[in-house]
Amino acid sequence: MPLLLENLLLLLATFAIGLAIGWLIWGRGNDDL
Amino acid sequence: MKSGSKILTGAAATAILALVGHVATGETFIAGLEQQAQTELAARGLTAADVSFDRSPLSRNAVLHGDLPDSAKQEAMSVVVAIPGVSSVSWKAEEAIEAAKADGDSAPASTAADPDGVTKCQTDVDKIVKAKKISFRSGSAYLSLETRQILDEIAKALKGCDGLSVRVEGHTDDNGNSAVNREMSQERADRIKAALIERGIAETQITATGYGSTRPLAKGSDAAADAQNRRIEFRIGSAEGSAKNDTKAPQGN
Repeated sequence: MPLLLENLLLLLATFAIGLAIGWLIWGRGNDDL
Repeated sequence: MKSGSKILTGAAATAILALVGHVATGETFIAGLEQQAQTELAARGLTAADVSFDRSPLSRNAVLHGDLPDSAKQEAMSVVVAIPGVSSVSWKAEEAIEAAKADGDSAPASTAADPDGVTKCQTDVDKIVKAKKISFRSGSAYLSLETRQILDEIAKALKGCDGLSVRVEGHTDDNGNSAVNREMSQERADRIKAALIERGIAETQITATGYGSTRPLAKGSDAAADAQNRRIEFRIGSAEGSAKNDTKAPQGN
């Protein structure tokens, strides 16, 4: 696999995990406010 | 801004970050892996094996080549794949070289196995460096008058090799610190490169690499072996691939 693709996938995966954690912490509770 | 477009913007920014990181460090990273693989192979005495990585596109797949028995090939592959960062390893199919051998070793410039004239150029340069050795004094990158004359001849031979890549490889003996040796070999290769550019060879055609003492020609550490190991090698390659993917022909002595 080309190194560029590896780098892209790795960072995008990190971004997705960050999004998911952010949503779990701040996103879910908004309905209750 | 809607949350969907926020996410897309974030993803795009991340992708740009990946791209910038790749451009900034990718080549260095792969070159580091290559250097490490060569050092590991040399440490196990597998100097006949040559290792390179795909450069277009850059990848962590190591490609080995060289004339070794099958057991040594297996050993070389396991050594290289064990290096952290190397994703996979393969043995280069050497069809072109084998085809040339099958033709009886007398294949001249423009045969099917040598469409770009790589072999011819390599042979021309080899003839020159076999007849007169480019040598350096210990610890010096100074180009002697004799070396300059050899470079005149090499430049003349390379004039007919437009469009081919030329890799200048610097090697040192194993005396002293290996980091210093690597620097010294790089400096020697750079000097040779600069001298060839001065003699009219296109800068884009030439790359200079210093291997330090990782690829000795002669074993042992007596003065004769040291002198043999302090050397410059030229490798000619086709325009697309880098020189390392093509015929290897070390200097004769």
